[in-house]
Amino acid sequence: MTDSKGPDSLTAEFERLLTPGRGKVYRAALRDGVIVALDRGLLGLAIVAGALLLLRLVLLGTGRGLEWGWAFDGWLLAAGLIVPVGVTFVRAMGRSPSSRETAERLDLALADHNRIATALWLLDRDRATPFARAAVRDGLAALGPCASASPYVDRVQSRWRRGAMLGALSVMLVIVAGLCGGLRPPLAADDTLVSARELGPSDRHPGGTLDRKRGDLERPRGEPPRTTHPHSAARADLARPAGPAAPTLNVPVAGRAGGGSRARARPTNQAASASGESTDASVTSQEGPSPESKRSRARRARESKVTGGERPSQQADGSAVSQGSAGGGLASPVTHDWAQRAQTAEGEDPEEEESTEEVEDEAESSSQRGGIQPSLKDRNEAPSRDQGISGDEGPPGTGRGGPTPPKKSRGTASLVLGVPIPDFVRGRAGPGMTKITHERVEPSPMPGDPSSAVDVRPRSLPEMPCRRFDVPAAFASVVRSYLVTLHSADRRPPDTGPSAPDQQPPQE
Amino acid sequence: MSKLKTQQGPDTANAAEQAARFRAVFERLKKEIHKIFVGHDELVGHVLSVLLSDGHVLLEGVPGLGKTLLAHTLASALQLDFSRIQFTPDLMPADIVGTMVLHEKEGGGHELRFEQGPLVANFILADEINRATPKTQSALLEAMQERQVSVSRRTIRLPEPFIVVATQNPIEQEGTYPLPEAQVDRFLVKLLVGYPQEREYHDILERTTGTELPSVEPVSSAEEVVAMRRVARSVEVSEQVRGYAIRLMMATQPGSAYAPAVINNAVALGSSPRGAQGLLLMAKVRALVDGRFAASCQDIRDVAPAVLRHRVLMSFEGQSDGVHPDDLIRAAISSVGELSS
Repeated sequence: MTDSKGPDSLTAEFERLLTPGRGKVYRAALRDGVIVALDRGLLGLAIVAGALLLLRLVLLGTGRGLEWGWAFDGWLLAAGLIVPVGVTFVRAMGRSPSSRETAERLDLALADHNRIATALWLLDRDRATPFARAAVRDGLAALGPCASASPYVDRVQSRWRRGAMLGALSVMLVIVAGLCGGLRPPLAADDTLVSARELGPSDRHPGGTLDRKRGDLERPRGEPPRTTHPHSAARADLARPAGPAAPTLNVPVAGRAGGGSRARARPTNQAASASGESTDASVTSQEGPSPESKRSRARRARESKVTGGERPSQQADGSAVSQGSAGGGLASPVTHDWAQRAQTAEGEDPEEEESTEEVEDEAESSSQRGGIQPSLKDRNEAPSRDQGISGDEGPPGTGRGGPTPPKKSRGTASLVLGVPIPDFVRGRAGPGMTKITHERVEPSPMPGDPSSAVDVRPRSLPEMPCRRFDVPAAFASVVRSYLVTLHSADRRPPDTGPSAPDQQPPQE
Repeated sequence: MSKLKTQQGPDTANAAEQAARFRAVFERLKKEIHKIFVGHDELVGHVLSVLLSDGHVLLEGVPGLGKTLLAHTLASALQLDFSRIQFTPDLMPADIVGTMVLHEKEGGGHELRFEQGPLVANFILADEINRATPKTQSALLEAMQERQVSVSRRTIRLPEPFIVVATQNPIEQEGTYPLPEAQVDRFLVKLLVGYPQEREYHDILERTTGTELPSVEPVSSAEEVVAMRRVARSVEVSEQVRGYAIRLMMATQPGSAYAPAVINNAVALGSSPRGAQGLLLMAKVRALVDGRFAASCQDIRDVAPAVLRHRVLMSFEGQSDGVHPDDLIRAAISSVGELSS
């Protein structure tokens, strides 16, 4: 057959004979594709339902309202179900099995030693050796009578139980999401109402705080800043906590509401609202308060005791907050950066001022402890006493190698003040001429004590000079079980080869 | 026989005729061996396949099962130059590859002449190979891989065909030297010789305790073996089958994409590329014996335990769990699919 036909006609013959098998493979793949599509659709449905529930919970937690109803949820769930099903099914429809795949699956179904696939491969490669031609002929002969046989297909296990679980989970999630949709966030709703009532039409801008800042920049210089409602300032004073600043809850609606509503929602920014600088405060409210040490605050408290009602000028104009808040501004834990800018503008470096404060604090503490104490501020690490090459350069010894300062001497002599004692002495020990003398001495017997024989007794020392290691019981059992397992193969009879059970002697 | 001998290559003759001739010689050899060696039909088939695949055999079994007899019978049936080397701890490399010997000249005086060792032969029976030192075992490396031996500055090409049939005893490991991995990898297959069946004992006793001892007639020759090796290499292997052999070989390597969990746990070192070469060569011979012109995945599966069992180095966990290499190869076979896509 192969000798009379060319490779093209043989390929066409193979294609013709493989057509029924290819159709069967395609239909089987399509059937499996439906199962896989449904499986993925249910999974997508569960994922969308879970995401919907999560979204509702997040929106409820952040105080936002839900602006869609069941119809939108239904569309989302339908999309979660239909899109994976459609994509998988379309992909399965568009995948046509190749001749090679069909041949391999036919070989598997017929168990014919890969004759068909090998023949097809040899035809594709255009192999012309005698064995290749014989193999092609062999493959064609194997395919001819079995062309209508069903090829081997990988049956996808229909996971109905998993699908049912996913479906039930989806329904449950949808119900829970619906229940969550019925809840309303109380704080967020009230806040929205208050802010909407207090805001004028010109303030209703979606830009939030940044837009307000831009509005301040566009305002003419002579125009005073917009004041807030006096009741809101009073509410801010009442709601102000005594401790340090609480974490800021950044809600844009509250930010639009200005001082009054913000003061009720966020007690941290009440000082700025009370001072009337609502716009600046709204800018700084996004930045965290700068840290301030307790000592500085204590020092300021002492200064305030000493100076009475007098206050530094920069504090006076920078802390208008405190003036307007009925005496509570001095203890305000919030430090605004505009106030810091004002202080910095006078030529003082904040870090330098802080270090000066620390020195003053130490001097004060020294005086309290009865005199001048060693300065603990610039204390250095003690030189390393490890042996090594000393030098004058380099940072203080850290024990990690490198050049170190001169080592301190050791011993009693080092206790004598003002006497430098080096660590080592250069030069040779005992320099000078060496004299060797020879002396001839006659050997003479030396008297010795005769040793007396003694009886050998059982020794009391242990048998071995080496100490025996006591293996823990658990480890000993592990080792024993390993060795038993290892040598259990030795007790087994050797492999008896291809012995059949029916030929074994009967057991009686 | 003569027809195959005169052929220049498989391209000049009909493939079917060559395959039929190959199969006939194979069956005749097997029948002749079974005159002496009773039973173990699959074992004999594997040994003949290795002979025609241009490989070497490692036979492992307890004493008295006929390992040496099988090798000796095969050599007798092939009319090959046969050397038996009994490996002992005091055997030196020079004892097997050859050395310079001082000879007396006829006209007086002496000269050094090279006396080649027993390794220069067609058929080498390395009996109890694990009783020699690694130094002597390593002397076989060059002969098995390069088909030559080097002594001093002299390199001797070994005659074709060249096959080493080594035997070793799995018990009595005291005083032995287990073969190094490099040496074991040179053997194409490792065959386990087991006990005969009950009915085979009758034949053994009948043939060995009577007055007439059977004899082996030579049914082939060295030239024909070389020609059959050429024919065996002409068998086609499709890309699907080749890919299957590669995946199966990789499945024995822990950490590979095809290795099942049991191999990842119990194997320290998997098969080398020689394993895949051995799979294909043995599968080709098996396909020819089966009357086919191309190897199949089933051929690969049939020869996989013999080809791969000695190339799998067990880990401590595998040894402590008592896992046998054949179990691992079965796991690898079940984890690798035939479909190439």
